[in-house]
Amino acid sequence: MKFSSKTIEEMIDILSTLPTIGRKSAQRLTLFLLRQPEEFIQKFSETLVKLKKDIKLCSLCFNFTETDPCPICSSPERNKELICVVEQPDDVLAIEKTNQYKGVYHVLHGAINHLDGISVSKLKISELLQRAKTAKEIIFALNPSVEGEVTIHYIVSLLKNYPIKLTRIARGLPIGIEIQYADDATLLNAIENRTEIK
Amino acid sequence: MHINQIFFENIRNHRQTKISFEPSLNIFFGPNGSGKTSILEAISIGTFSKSFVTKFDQNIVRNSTDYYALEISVERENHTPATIYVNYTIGKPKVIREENGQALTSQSLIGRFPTVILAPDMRGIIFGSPSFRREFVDRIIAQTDKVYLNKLYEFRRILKQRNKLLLEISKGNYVGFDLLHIWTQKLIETSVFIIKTRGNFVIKFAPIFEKCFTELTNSNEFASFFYSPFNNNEINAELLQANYSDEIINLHLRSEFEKNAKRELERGQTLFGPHRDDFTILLNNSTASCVASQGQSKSILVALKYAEINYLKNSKQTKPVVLLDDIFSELDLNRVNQVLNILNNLNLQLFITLTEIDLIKPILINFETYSLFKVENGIVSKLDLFHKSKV
Repeated sequence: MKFSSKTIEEMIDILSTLPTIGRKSAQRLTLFLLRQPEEFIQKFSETLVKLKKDIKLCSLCFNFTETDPCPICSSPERNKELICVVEQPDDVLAIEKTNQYKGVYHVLHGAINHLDGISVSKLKISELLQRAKTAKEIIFALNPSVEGEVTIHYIVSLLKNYPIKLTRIARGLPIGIEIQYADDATLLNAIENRTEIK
Repeated sequence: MHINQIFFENIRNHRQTKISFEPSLNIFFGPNGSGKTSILEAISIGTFSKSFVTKFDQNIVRNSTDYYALEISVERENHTPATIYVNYTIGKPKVIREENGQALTSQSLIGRFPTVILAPDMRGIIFGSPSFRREFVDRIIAQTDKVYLNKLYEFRRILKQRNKLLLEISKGNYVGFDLLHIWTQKLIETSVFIIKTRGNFVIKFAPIFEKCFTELTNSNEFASFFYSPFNNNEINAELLQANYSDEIINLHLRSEFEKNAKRELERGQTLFGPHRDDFTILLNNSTASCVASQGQSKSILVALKYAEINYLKNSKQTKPVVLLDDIFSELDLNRVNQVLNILNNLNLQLFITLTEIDLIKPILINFETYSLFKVENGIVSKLDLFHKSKV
């Protein structure tokens, strides 16, 4: 079905390019927006513009931020010698939720993926090498995909002459899962990467 | 295990089909194109996550619709029931769920309800390209070893990435030799696991196959099954001798990759690895594809499938379900009789399709229970058992 208004059609087109939004949802959102008062739309569009204008990448960790350096990088309570490397800003959010990690981050903005055209130069790898000079430990918290693995190996090969501790997060059983219900691959991984008691 | 019931919508020419099965023999008959194979395809999707006819789900969706859906109810060996739901809409990923609504990946479905399929194009296992034999072997291992299935997916992913990088380097778009080296390491690591698992599988499978072949043919002919990952028989023999130890596989893989390094960059392609593996089937010590007659090749194929059934039965502690598509196109009445008797004695649930019911009448007398289904234009109707009414 086509709407009579070209503007409505355009709005639907734009909204349906968003992730997880199909054409039907885009239609619903457009009609919702149409029914909102003027002030709401004003605020909405201003925020949208501000989002792109005011949010930039932190020059240290490359997370999204309004201030540079970002609140995490400029916090005196954070250990700047401990860097956790992640693929995406969402991963920072996930680790921050634990409220336990007291180091800083480094967002690569992806993992090496030739099929998607993500080459080494598109990732914040050389920037990480710079920061590694003043760090004591780097924790790799990349996704357990072949691309994540290869990215870790590649960075580790570049860091091999640095006097620095390199670690990676453990791969194993999720909390709350009984062993009998864990899938074979996870279980095998947990056994291969077992840790010594004491 | 056996399948109690299947319900599906928009698969091939079926609008909506619901069938309750016999735990023993189920026979579907009808003219070509009536929708018999589609029933077996639906069973395959519900138990193995994909069809055995096509790789592409959009080919299965009924014309002028955009989705298919199916629900399959299974009874396990310990009599606990299980239901699997599969939904596919063109352009979206396939969704598989269990009865509690929990989503399943195809990886976690494969192997839960083992199935063995014999379809007309499967003589490719003997005469066709190595990919037929790899698929035959991978299908069996995948149903018994989750870690293998996982590594196989991982291997394919690494291979794709490595090929893309090789292509970029060969076109001069990218200088990434350090990176290529890392991808090669990863590829070798995974390849060692795959070759080792395939090798150890063949060690167990080959004697089962040899026994099955002898049992089927009752003759002094013999057939055997070998794994040939390298194009060099000495290396293949050495690997077998060493029980496919990691170190030796690693050693030979490394030297292959070194040997091919220059050509790989010229061609922009990975030239060696488990994606090019082959298996050799011998009949009386000669390559079966060269010497086997029509009849002998049929016996080999049936023996391979019979061995597959035995292997799955032994290693899964659950009996596989057997799907025989268009059996009379491959086998004559004597062989069909022999196969059905063997499978019936194993108490397996069987699904058979054929065009003319008269073809099978002479041997149905031997069966206590079975169900007959007539298939016409995607509509399935159950028939009364004719031999009982005759008696």
